[in-house]
Amino acid sequence: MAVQKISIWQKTPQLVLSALLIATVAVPLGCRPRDGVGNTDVKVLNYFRGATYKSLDPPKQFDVASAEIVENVYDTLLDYHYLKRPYELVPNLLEAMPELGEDKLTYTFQLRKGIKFHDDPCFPGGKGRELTADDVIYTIKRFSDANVNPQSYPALLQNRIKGLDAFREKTRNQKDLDYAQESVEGLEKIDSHTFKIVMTEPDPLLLMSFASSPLSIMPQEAVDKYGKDLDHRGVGTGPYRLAQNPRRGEIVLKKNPNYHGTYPTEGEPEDQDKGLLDRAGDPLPFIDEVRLPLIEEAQPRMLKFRNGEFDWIGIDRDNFPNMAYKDDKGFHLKEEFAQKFDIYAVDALSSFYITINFRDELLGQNKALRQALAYAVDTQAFIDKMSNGRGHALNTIVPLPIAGSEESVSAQWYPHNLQQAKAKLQEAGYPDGKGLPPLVMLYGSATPQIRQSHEFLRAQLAKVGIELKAEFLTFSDYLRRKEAGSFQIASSGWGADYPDAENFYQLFYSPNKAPGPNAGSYSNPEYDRLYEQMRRMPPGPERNQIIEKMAALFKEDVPAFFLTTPITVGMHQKWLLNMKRNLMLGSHFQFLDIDAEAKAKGLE
Amino acid sequence: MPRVYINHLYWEAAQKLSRRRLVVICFGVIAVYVLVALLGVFNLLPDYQTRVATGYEAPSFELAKLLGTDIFGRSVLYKILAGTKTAMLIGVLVTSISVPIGVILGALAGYYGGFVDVGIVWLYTVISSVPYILMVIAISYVIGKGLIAICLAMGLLGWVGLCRLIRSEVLKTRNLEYVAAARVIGANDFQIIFSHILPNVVHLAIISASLQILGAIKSEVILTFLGVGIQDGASWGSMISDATGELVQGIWWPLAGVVFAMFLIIYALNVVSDALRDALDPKLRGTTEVADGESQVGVKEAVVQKA
Repeated sequence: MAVQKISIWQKTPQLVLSALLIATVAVPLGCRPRDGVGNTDVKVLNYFRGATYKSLDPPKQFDVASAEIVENVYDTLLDYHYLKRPYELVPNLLEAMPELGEDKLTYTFQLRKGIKFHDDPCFPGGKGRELTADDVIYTIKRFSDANVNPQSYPALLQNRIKGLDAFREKTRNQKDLDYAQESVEGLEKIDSHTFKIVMTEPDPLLLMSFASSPLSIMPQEAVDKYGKDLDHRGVGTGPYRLAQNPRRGEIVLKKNPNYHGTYPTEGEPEDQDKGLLDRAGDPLPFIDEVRLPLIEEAQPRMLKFRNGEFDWIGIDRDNFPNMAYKDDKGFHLKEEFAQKFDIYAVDALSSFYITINFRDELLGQNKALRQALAYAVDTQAFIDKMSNGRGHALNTIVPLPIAGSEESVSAQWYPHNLQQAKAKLQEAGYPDGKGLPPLVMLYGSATPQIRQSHEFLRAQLAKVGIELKAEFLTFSDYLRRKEAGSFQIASSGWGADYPDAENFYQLFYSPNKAPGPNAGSYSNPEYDRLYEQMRRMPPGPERNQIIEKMAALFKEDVPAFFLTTPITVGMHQKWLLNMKRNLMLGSHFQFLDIDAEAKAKGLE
Repeated sequence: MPRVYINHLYWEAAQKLSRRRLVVICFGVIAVYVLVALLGVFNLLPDYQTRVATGYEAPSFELAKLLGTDIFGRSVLYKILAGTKTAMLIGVLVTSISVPIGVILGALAGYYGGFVDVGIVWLYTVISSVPYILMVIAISYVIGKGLIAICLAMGLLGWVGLCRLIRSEVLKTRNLEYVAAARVIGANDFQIIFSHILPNVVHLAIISASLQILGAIKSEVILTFLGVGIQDGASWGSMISDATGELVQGIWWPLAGVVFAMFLIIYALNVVSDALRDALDPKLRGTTEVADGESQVGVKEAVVQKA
């Protein structure tokens, strides 16, 4: 057979192409070292972010993804104790907890001395200067500026500090208001490190607002220099500074060597045995670098965790049955995983429920029909089937770890009882559901989980003759419909802004009617009266009695049903130390430590 | 008469198709799907909402459990059958919206030319410049989600290809002698388009319709998987979307079942579309086969002579 002789030069294009192809494949696969391997001098925490942040400018954000970064870069005046439960407020930038004056209206705050902002070109000479009372007053004013913060002001400071609402109104009319020229009656500087805040009325919950990330303290120099750019950068006093921040790539946080915080010296009784107090009193943070790539899908995250590329992870519903199980004692990892990882389970600070719209002619006027719904749904079966048992059926609207929940208040929700449900349905005028038009439920997304939840509920209600239909909307459409009060029933959820029952009972207070957070426009004068009474009371048995009465009214009127709260279950590598999930903290990286040798060995 | 030739064309095509075994089998498969869909329309299918066993039971030899059960213990087979109804319904609805639009606009553009043509060409160029799925999603956000909404959205966008084809065919046909002859004997535009031209180009609509059904079924599955299609009811798309999580747990049967159901109908429709095109498109039909009957030229000549 004749063979044509080909010179190497004739083959050049193929060779070049082949070389390019091999290089394209080989470079990302072979040449990139895995983070943390072989380097035990620098402690690196590998975690991920599941969503992009909205803004890193503290007053402009109120979402989980933003708070996770903001709380590492900035500090709040107060914070929640890392180890103690129930969640307890502790001073962070302050010498001690603020003192309440005799008038019960004035708090005096004493800032700690020597706390410095991160080194940044916005300061003279690039050196971070000391934090002073002026920064706090500036921060509160900027937080209250209607042009800066449209979102979190009503929840955190509205109607609480003297003169602040008027200041906010002024900012609405005058865009570039000079804060220094505008005095606010309730904000008073005493000296460089002391200031007073005067409340409109006695308010034991006010201090919790100062532990919330939108009220993180920031220097005016940064706002003046960076303006809108602060959405993507940060100059604070926090344990980490932003070293790298691509919007959809890997965020890198580097340790702030001048950080003021120390590891807590007290905790829960079992914390000592778990080694959670081994580093008591040591300066924070322990980890030099935190790497947070953006990974939105659950499955690649889990594969990376199992590969050792992440130090901890929450367990999603689909992976749970393969990796973990639940018994009477709690949650456990299956043997093959228990050798490699440690599991944790914490009661979440959010509750989920179905809001009933009282503006709806059918449901709003028919109490027996609402009660029939409450009897018809088997909440525990839902949790077992749809969430691998990771949740609790609630007796009140308040999640368990929160002050004023059913842990401290006696309350009993409707048991699942089909006979009772049918009896109530008959009382409502719809025996066996005859004549009852289908109920339409609003959902804020159409994920497989949401659709399956709907199918579960539909099957449950069908047993008593109630037909359920669904409207799956985008989250923004869903919010719009709820604000407009244009729905019949809606699948809803609320996460605690602060660990107090008031934050959940305000969801049914009539002045908060739609477009406010009381989307179902429930209105009961007695409930409102009790709420107003309880709102300004310090925690204690007397307050709990009032909450008990509110829970009873809530049960009788059923403004919402199908009350559940999740249990957050996750796992971490054995080399990750000091791990205790604290759901009131947006981020707890500063308390974590890594056994660098074990990690290096594990990754090999 | 042209109609003699056309009737002969279909008869001949049918004979030709019936000689190919694979095509006959595929027609059979489509007939079964249509039958299932009809049973579904008349509520004669078993209720897929009923629990038949415990959750996630693997397939076994019992009708309801032939393809296993889902998370709530409902039969995967019954869900697939219910999804078949949805898929076929969407296929037929979308096609019955888009094919008439495509044929009519294509015929008008091709026959009249001028401003009518420019307007229609502009319209379909604009529509086809936006990616199809994105456009359907955008429309479904405006008119709402659900079965009717996506049928309308897909139907109102799906006519472009057919319109283009019909337009070019009509452009060619309108100057042929038999059309001129029809005009001479006093036929008006409506008669010419619908009695003389369209019967000669309608085979394109048949081929296009078979492809359209296929496209609509696939699009519905994609849209429902993305969460903008069928909202509350059985759909192959939502079954596939549920399966993404189930697969991690080792539960393969819902996905396997639905993928097989989809594969079968899409394969059958593909084979049938190809066969139809082979049989009906004059360009692809061999001259020898045409010669069996009256030749196209012969027919045209006859018409001219008569005129």
